Amino acid sequence: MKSERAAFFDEAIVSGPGQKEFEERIYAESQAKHWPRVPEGTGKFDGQVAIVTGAAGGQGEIEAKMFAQQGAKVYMVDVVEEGLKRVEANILADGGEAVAVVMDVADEEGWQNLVARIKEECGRLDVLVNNAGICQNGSVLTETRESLERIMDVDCWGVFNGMHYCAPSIIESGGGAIVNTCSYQGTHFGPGNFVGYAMAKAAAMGMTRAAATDLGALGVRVNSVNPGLILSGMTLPRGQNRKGLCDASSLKRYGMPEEIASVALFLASDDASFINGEFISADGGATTYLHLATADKN
Amino acid sequence: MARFDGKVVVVTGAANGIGRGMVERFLEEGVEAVVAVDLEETTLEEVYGQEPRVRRFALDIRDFDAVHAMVDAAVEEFGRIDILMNNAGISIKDNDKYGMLNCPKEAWDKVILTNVCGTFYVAQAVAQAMVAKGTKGVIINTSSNTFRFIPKYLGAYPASKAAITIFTKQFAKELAEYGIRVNAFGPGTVKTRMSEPTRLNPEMNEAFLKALPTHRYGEIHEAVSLGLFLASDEASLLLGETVFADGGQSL
Repeated sequence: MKSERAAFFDEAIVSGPGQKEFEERIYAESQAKHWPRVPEGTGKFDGQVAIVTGAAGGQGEIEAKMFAQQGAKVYMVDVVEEGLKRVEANILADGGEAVAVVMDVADEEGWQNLVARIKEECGRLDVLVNNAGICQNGSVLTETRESLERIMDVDCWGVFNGMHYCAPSIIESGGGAIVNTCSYQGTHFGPGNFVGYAMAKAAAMGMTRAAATDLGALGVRVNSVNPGLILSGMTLPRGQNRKGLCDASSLKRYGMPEEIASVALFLASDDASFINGEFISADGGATTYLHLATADKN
Repeated sequence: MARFDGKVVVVTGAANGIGRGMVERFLEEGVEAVVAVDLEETTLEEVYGQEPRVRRFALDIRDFDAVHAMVDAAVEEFGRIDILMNNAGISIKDNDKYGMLNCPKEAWDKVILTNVCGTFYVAQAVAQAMVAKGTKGVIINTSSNTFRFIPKYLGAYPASKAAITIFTKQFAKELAEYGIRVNAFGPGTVKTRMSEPTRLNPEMNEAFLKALPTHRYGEIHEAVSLGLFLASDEASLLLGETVFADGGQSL
């Protein structure tokens, strides 16, 4: 039986010489390995309350599910109501606790309401995973301030809003963790034609560092996971040469959402209690390659 | 199912501090056997004499032949090595005695030979065994945050740990095709013997803690949990990374 993700992948395959065969091979290889599962039932997050943004699919979906498996009550934020309801139903059916919150991370009033609601319903907040993000093609020649507004709203201000509105509650709960989702494209050469993504992620990295300093002393650790090329809704429909990008990572394959979620959960857990202000690249070694800028042309 | 069920693990610098903490956690998390490497058989026996799953090897990692003999013996007994925690290392600190202006040649060379050469000898020997046996293994080297914020008077220590971070990337890139993951971790100042020169000097201790964002030293279990995370499948997409756990010391 074809998994939900496999069907999704089929649908999103872009045409091109050899591309379909390549994608199928990479997908088969990606599936062949067993993916990390945080051991079930260890209850690492028992009694905790977590927010995961961008939880309607991809990494965010897996993160929400893993937190719920580990005992946390998860408030899942996304603008895609249908996906969010599906994930919520999955988690509830597995006996976990999840609440779907249809909300744009750029919406400040939404954040205020969410934090107030969590305070009322749970009386505490322990973890925030700022995972929501969007990506768009465009270079410094073609983008304008206006055309970059949306990506800056989500990838930059969405992260800031989350930290700004949630940190007081996390501090009040006796400390906790914030995990942001940044990208090597904020600091390294990217595949090109992604100026908005690069600048928004660089901003997110700067605020991660600053927040780690400011909140660290108050008991809130702030770190980031920097994914490489992950098999998810963001990377599939872009029409870029994904073979080149896969070849640029030492593993020669896509990363799976599970492999990012396991890092995010580690950073959010007590196992990472002395880790603050760090960026963990989970990219199959892509950032050990300096020729990534040319990967697109391979 | 525990994270490390049935794994054969080599830990160097296993008799004390972070290395010892790693061995204890591996034993709790299901390993088949631990090869515990350290300098003195007496200390190894004291710590692990009663533990049937631990094989003890007293050797100096600067001794290339001894390192290979240890790896050969481990492979002969267990058939393979799944995980290497390449943890052994030394540091030097005595006020400004090991500052760059006056650091004696012997002190400089000893740190480089142990931390750079010794760490490389062990990583290479184990990598060769993994490739020979077709083991899709994991190698975790121990780096340090000191090369990010360069505390004074540590002699060759920060440079030696920077070298480990770089050759970790070289190993990672070249061993990826064999399915071997190589990463490193950089503990901050942890409550081990290595940090005693600072912790046991009241003046230095106070100044040091004041400068730390969290105003505390790292606990051994905090370094251990990072090392074991990197060694587990949870870190399957990390390659050539050095992950630091230093409480924001080098922010």
